[in-house]
Formats: sequence, structure tokens, C-alpha cells
Amino acid sequence: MPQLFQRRSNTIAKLSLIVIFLTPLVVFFVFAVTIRSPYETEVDVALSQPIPFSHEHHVGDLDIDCRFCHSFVENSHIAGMPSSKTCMTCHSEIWKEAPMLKPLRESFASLNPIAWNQVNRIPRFVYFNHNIHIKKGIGCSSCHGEIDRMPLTKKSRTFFMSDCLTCHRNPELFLRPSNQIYNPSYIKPDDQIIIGEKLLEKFGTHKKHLTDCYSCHR
Amino acid sequence: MSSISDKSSPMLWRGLEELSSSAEIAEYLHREFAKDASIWGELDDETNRREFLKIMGASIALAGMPACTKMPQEKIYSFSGQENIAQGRLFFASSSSYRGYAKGVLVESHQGRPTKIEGNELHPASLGTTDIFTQAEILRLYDPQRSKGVLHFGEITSWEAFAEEIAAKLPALAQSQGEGLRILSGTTTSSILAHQISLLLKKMPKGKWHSYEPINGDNVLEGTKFAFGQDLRPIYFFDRARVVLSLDADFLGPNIAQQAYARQFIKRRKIQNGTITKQAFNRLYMIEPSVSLTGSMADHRIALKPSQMLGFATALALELGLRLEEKEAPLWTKAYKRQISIIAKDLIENAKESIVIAGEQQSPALHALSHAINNLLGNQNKTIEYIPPPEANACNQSASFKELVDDLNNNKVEVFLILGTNPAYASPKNFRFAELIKKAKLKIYLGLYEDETSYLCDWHLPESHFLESFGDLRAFDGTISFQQPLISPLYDTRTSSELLAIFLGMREQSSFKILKEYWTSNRLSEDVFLQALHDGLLRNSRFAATPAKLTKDWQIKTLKEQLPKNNLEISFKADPTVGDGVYSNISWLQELPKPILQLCWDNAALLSPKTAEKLGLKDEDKIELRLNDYHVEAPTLIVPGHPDDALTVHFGYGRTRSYLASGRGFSAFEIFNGNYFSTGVQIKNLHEKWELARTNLHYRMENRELILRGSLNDYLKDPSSIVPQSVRAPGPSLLPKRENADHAWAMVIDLNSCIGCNTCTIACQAENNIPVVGKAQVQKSREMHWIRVDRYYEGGIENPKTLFQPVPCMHCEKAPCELVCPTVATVHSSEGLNQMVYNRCIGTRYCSNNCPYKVRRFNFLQYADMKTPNMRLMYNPNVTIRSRGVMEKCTYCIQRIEEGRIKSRLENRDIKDGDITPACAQACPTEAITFGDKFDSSSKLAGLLKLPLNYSVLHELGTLPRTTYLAKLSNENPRWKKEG
Repeated sequence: MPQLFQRRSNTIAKLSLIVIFLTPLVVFFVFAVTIRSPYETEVDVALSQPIPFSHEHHVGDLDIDCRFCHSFVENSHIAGMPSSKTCMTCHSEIWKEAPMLKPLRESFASLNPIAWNQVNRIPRFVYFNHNIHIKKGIGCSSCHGEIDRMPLTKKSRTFFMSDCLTCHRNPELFLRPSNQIYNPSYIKPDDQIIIGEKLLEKFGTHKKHLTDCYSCHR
Repeated sequence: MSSISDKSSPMLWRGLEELSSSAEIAEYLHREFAKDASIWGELDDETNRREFLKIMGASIALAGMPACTKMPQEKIYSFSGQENIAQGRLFFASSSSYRGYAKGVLVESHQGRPTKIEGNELHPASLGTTDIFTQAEILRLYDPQRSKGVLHFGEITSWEAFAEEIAAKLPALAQSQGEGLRILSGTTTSSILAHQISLLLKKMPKGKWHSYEPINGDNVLEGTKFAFGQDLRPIYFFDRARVVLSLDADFLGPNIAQQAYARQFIKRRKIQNGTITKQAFNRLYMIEPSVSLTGSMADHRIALKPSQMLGFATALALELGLRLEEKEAPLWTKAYKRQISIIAKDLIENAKESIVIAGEQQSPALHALSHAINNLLGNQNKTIEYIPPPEANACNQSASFKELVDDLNNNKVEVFLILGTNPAYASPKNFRFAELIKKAKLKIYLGLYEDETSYLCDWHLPESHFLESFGDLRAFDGTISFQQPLISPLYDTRTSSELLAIFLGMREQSSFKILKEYWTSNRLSEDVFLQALHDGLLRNSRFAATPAKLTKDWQIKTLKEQLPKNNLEISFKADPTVGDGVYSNISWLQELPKPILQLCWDNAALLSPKTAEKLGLKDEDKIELRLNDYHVEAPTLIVPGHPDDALTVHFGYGRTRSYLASGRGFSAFEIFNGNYFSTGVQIKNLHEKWELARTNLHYRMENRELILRGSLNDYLKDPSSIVPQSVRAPGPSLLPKRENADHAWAMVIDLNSCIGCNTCTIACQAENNIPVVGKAQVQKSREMHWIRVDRYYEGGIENPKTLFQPVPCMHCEKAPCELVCPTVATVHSSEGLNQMVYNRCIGTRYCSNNCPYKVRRFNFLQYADMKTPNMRLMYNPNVTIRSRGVMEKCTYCIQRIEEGRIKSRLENRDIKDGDITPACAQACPTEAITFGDKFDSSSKLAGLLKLPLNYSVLHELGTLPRTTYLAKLSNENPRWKKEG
């Protein structure tokens, strides 16, 4: 009777052992990479919008302040979107016939707000408040990136919980002086830690509470 | 039953079952959770263990998959021109209506949607607090079952079509001077409505305006008419009274002045700064033919049969020395001779500082008698004032309704307009309204819902909710109160004033224009009007006290001897949570355990243990009640403390045309003949079961001593005698020590102030998006209320003392729940809050099993409605909506803590005492719940924690709960030793 298992069976057996142990690891790895990839997180992916609005032009070139359009940001938990009236302060004079701005003119005439696709999103169980972050030394670009270099608006962060926690654990690494909040191209100084500690004290921020679950989840 | 009475009772008990020795009941009581709490039988009967493992295996394998789905793309819009709505919570003053009377409210608005109702501090009927009905109005606004469009014989049509038809009818009606025009409303205090109807009746003088609600103030009005010869309404000042004798008046229970009266009454009981004098503390005697919240608060309570009430009052009046034509009290009162003389003595000793108050439903004779007693004691204008009735159509409603029914019967009614009342259901059966209404030629019905009456009408017109309309009302003391809308009507609805404008020939008039025109024409200046609209009320507009002089012949026709007959008597009352059916479509109120009864989703025939034994009845037996020619089938519920040989039934159930309430409970109107008390009711045991959903045995804490209590005398002798020192010192614990940050949130619940009204439960439900689970789930002990009000009995089953204890999460400093969670879903915050992280929860329920206070609630099924668009509008956007398989519990209203924190941080200051008020504390009529920072030694809370009455429940476990209690004090009359 011939050998039931040939010599190469040994190799197959050894290999399959390795495969059995490796497969879950590979699956896990692929999964972990996928959920962090732009495919899933949409980081750096520009969404299509009713009007291809360029922050690069308006913020970078024209130097318009964030609050000119996002006018609630200092008073509300939401930053607010500009009404078409705000846009029309200029666009009733310039580019007033541009086909690109047709949705704007329609919105202005009909009083129906433009439906923008939301770019920066957090899950429903996270309760974020713009107001308090702005007032306590967190600049726009800390979360929204260098908006003055975005021809089309896109996410610059994953908005994973770890994103929030890096700062909530060590806010001193990110705090800015109040006059730099709306600076989109703010660069951290070399002595950030020293400045950060001072600002932390100035703003009266209590670090301990920042990592309580209930700070953000309710 | 015999096994019950034989056994000696434990100190505190929750249900008669606990006193029983049956093995089956012992098994039930021993279970920590309801019998099939761990079975998912209701999902699929076929599901067995193998099936379960299969599904579990698949669930685990696929658990990560949801992470692969992307968040749905969402749109964002600008709020052009409505900048103020972006600023989080805004509050607007308005007035809700309870039985036609105003209760001032502040309505919370989130981005244009009203989401929560709070009390208006300026308003005398609210004082910043609410009752259960006001809280539930928000659900009524968004109720998907509200009627949405005009129906003509059931066909969808429009307001224009209706206006056309009326316009065609009007000339003929005017010609005949309104012959055959009848308007029927409920109790109303609206000046606008009265003005419009009077304008209409001026044009059509032969028309008539009737008012009818089954629970009305007829007897109060008749009583004052007897006593003073004029229509008056008494208002009471309980904070000025040291002794209160209530003759079936449930002034702490649901009524038009519940919050005001409860606040005043409790003011004389609160231990605020650790000091209270004997003089300041009040004493309450309650004589009642049923059970009530007021009875539970009483220091001395006597349960009498309904027919005995007047006899008792007569005996008391004679004892007080009131000169009556009746020289002798009924013979049976001899049995109460001692008690009567004690009460009389106490009243005389506290003349000018006492109140004798008769129940709204008691006979006019008893009301007259109580006024005479108050007059004798010199209480008038001291603790009681008389004001003109604030009602717009003050009349004897029963007589008015009878007249209407007769007119219907005699074919005299041509155009019949019904404004928001439902007499086809809520009226005495023997009036045969539902049959006779068919004789009217044109029947028009305006209401929030399609109901029994609307089905009998030609036109069903949908009414606007008060949060969608402008209007005016008066409070119990006559204060003019205003309503303003928070949202434009969700559906094609109109207000009663807009409807009457159609009748007045003005088709398109808005409720605002009508309101403004009325109030600014020679009544108020425009500025004053706008300010009043802003405040929700016109300040200082309450009625001045009317001098009332007892007439000479006040007792003629009144005091007829009413000998108690030896047969079964019955009292009819409004249901404690759904009223006379007005609130029966509101699921929050259906599921709210009725105070004392702890019954949800049903009503029952209440009877005493002794009577039940005599009749051979047990709990939840189906019986037939027969009164004269009418009968109805009802379940029984044995209630300790209920008078013997008497029954109590509640209105509000047995609806036939209500989306939510149809088929629930039984309709007491079936046997109602217009008298709130009747004798000669017959009972037939049908030998069937009628299962009820009762919560009295849910979340039991194994007969441990949870409510510390004592008498005022003991407290005054030695303040620390009520709560032993051993209970106040923290016990040893193996659990880890915690360090605290800047704040230590804590709550103190004053059991001395708690009246058991359940408002906290509903306020919490509204604030925290707590779902309703339904009767079947309640029977499985799965109700979701984050704060429950436990009811305990003390003493024998004949007339036990009733005690209440609200139980939210204790936020233990050493929380047993946190240690057992395998996924760290429940953790401690730096400020001492026991946090529940919904996203981490996988539903093992270990935390709930390990919680000694049983305050954790588990979503066994998908209870929260995430799909219905209306409900999504209603939810508080600052609180996560929980899904199936997730544990939840009280958070101390973390969203309010965080809001308070952010607000103070923005102003660069620390959180002040009073910045943060959880929903329960805000709604509580008696301010029994205090929330604050333990570390802030100047806070109100810190003061309460220092009181010798402060204690924590299950102290011996060493959990160091942050929620603590103040022990309850009672003020028994030392002369009253032997219970009567």
C-alpha cells in the first residue's frame, strides 16, 4: 500500500498551521488599515457641493475672517452656515452672472437655504460645542486644517475619538493665544509647552474633567 | 386572604403579597427580576438554545461589520434671518390648561422646536414648577395620532369648505335669532372665548352656550351659593394654617392649584436650616372615602364610606359648637367620638390658623358646612379667601348639560358646535348623549383628536395645541394668563378663537390678531399687553377677595340626615394620571404608575382588603359592577386603607375611539349617573382574571429599612434621634477610594416634602428621551423610568401610613455597578458621577444585577421610537437616544451640568449654586429635590447634608451614595394615641 501522505504533505501541514494563525491577523490588519484609510474616513476627499466654493480663494487670497460667514461660532455650539444674503453682499456686484453661482441666486430669490454637504462630521452621540473651544484657546485650524489652502473643502482629520483625546488629555500642547484663534496657518511656537501651560492657567481650564466620558457623551 | 391578616406585618411593606404566606408569592418576591426577564419569548416562541447560540455566533462574527458602514451624508443649511434660534436653549412663557384653568409654563425651544415644558416662576399656579399633565403636553403636541385635517363625514376636506358651509348657514341663523344654535365647551376661563361667544349670542340671542365636564366645580359653586348666597370660589392659604382638616379634598393631588397648594402646605413642614418650631409645623387630618395623595401625607387619617362624610362633618360641627338645626349627629359617629373631639379641640386651639376644606366632589351641603365651620373658627380672610369664579361660563354644569340634552331630545338643536370636549364618552350614561346627539341637524366638533364625539359629528375640525396658538386663560386665583405659540401649527389646525371668528363672519383671522384686538381695546395698553405676553401673565391681576357673609338660612335644604346604609357604596373619581379621558392618548401618562395604586395602563375597581375578603375577591379578578340599570366589567384592585363596604372607580379608561387608549381598562361612565357617590352597587364575580400591570413589587429592596422617619416631638427633643449616628458615619468599604476634582455633584431628596405626585418621573422622561414600553413589558418589570417613586405602607392593612420615596441613581462614590462591567461601559467621572457610556455597553446587565438600589434600566427591545418623524422632533437633542441592548440610568441630567459648566466657563467664573438644576428638581412642586456641589460649603445642598435628618439608603453596604435623603417627620396629635 502506497504512502497515504506524500512527502510534501509535511510542508502543507506546516504551512496551513502558519496560515491558520496568520489569517485572523491579516484580516484584522486589513480591517484596521481600511477603517483608517481615506476611503473610510474621507480625509482629504473633497465632497461635491452645490457651488464649488473655494476657501483657498476667500480665506487665503481675500483674507476674509472665519466669523464673517460662520457667524455663530462665538455664541453657539454650532458655527453656522452663511445665509445667501451674506454671500450676496459681494456677489450681487461681482460674478453676478456666473453660471457657477446660479444656486446662490436662486436661494437668495426663493429664501430657501442652499443645501451644503456636511464635510466635518461627528457621530450623534458626541456633543461638541464650538463656542467653548474658541473661547478657551483652540483655533479653527486645529480641527479643520489649513482651510486657506483648500480649493475645495475637505476633512483634514479623521475625527476619531483619539483625535479629540490627544488634545483633551494634553490641551497645553495645542492652546493658542486668543488673537491667533482664527489664523488658518498658525504654526505652533517652539516653546509651545511653556506658552500652553500659561494659557491653560489664563483660560482657567480644568484638565481633569476633560477626560470624563460625560464631557462629550451624554 | 386569611393568611394575610394572620401574619404580623413587617415594618414597611409595598404590597399585600408581601404579607401573604403562599409559596408561589414567596417565589415571586424572592426573584430579583421578573420571571421571564431573561427569556426573549416575545420575539419568537420557536427560539431555543441552539438557535440562540447560532445567532450569537453570527452576531459576534459580524460585530465589527457596522464599523465598515459610512456615516450617512448629511446636509447643512443656514438659518437665514433666524439667528437667535442657533443659540441653544431658548425659553418662552405660555400657559397650559388644566381643566380649563391656566398653569404658567416656560417652554424650552431648540432651534425652533419646543422640546420641554418647565414652570413659570412668576405664575401663581406654577411657581416655577409643573404637574404631570403639563409635562406631558409636549408629547401631546407631537402625538402622531393628533387629527391633522378637516373631515366632513369622514372625508378629507378643507377649512375653506367648512367656512363656505357656515357662511351659507349664517344668514338663516341670524334671521331666526340663533334659534337652535348650541355651543358646548368644557370648563373654560378664556376671556376671548367668552367675548366671542357673547358677540355671537348678541347677534343670535336665542342661541345658548353650555359648559360641561364630568369632573367640575358644581358642588363648590352650589356650596358657596348655599353658604353666602352668591357664586364664589374659595382659595386657600395653607402656609398660614397650622391645622388642616380635609374632608376628602385632595389638594395635594391633581387639581387646578396643585403646585401652589402643595408648596404652601409643605412650607409649613420643611426643615430648612435645621430649625423648626412646633408652632411652625402644621398638622393634617384627612377624612376620606377613598385613597389619595393628601391622605398619604396626613398625620391622622380616617377612611369613611362616602355616605358617612356629611354625618362626620355634622358631628364635628356640633362638637365645635356650631349652631345647627340638626341637634344630633348620626348615631354611628359615636364610634369616632374621641377622634372628633380631638380634631375639634385642635381646630379651636388654632382658630384663625386652621383650614377645613371640603373635596370638590363632595355634596354642596358639606361645602356649606365647611364654610360655616371656617367662619366660626375665624379662618375667613385669614387662611381662606373667596373670589368670584374665574370661569368664563360659571354655571352649574350638570344642569346646563341636562338642559342641552333635553333640547337635543326635543329636536330643538339645529347647529351644534362642540369645542374640545368629549361628552359622547365623558358624560353620564343615563343622559344618553351619544344617542341624542344624532338629533341635531348640523354637528360640528373641534378637537385635538378624533374621538367618540367626533365620530358622531358631521364636521371634525382639528384644533391647534396650545403650543401652536395664541390665547388667554385665568389661573385658579383669577390671574390673567397668556398663551403664545412656540411653533406654527404642525397640521392644518385652528384654535377655538379662529373657529368662532368664522362664525362671526371673519374667515381668516389669526389667533394673535383676535387676542391683541381684544386685550388692547380699552383693556391694556399695547406695551402692557406685550409685556404680559412675554411674561405669560398679567402681573397682579388676581381677583381681590370678595367679602362673603354667611347667610342666615345657609343650612336650609342642606343637612338632611344621610344614614349610612348597609350596602356597597361607590365613588367616582378622575383617574390620577389620565383625568377623565382628556389625557388618555398620552403614553407617558398611561405608563406612569398611578400614585399609591402603582398601576399602569389600566384602571380598576378599588376596594379594601376586608371588603374583598367578604366578597370572596382577590386582586385582578374580573367583576361585573351593576348600578341601577347599568353595568360594566372591571378588574379589582385591593387597596390597603380604602374604606370598607365601598368601591372607588376612576374615569378616563374604557375609551372606544382613541388610538392609544381604546380597549384599556373599563369605562366608569357606563354606570355613572351624575352623582359622584352612589349606594347600592352590586358586584358579581365573573371568575376570570384581568391581568393588570402593577409596579408596586418591582425593584424591591428586600424589606430593608429604607425610609427613616420619626415624629416632630422626638426631633425637637433630640434632633439626632431620628437618624442614628451609626447611619450617618461612612462604613468600611473594600472598594477603591476616589479623589475628587473641583466639584462633587450630589442630590438630597427631602422625604418630608415629597408628596408622591410623580412629577419628577414625567419631567425626567421628557428631559431624557425615556421611551415608553407598554403594558406587557411593564408586567415584566421592564419600565424605563430613571427616577421612580416607591410607595411603602407602614402598619396594619386596615389604615396603613403611606410613604413615598423617589429613587434615582444614587451615583455611589464606591459604585458596585462599575466593578462588574466587562467592557468598562460604566465608569466614574472625576466629579463623582457614575457615567454610563452607551457605546461601550454590550448588554450583559451585570451592572444592573450588582446595583443594590435597582436603578438601572435595560433596553430589552427597541423601545425608543427613532423612526416617527414627529417623535424625532420632540426628542431633546442634547441626550442620546438609546437603542436595544443598552443599559441606561439617571445621569443627574448631565446635559444640564455641562451646559451650566460651559456657560460659567464662558463668563470666566466658577459654577454657582443654582446654575444647574436637573429636570426632576426643577419640576418638583414642593422643592423636595435639591441638587448641588458638595464641595461648595455655601450651597443649599451642603446645608441640607449637615442636617441631622440626612441619611443614605443601604448605608451598611458602604457604597457612599451621592443621592441622600432627609428623614420624614410626622406631627401626630399626642392625644390621638389609639388608632381609630
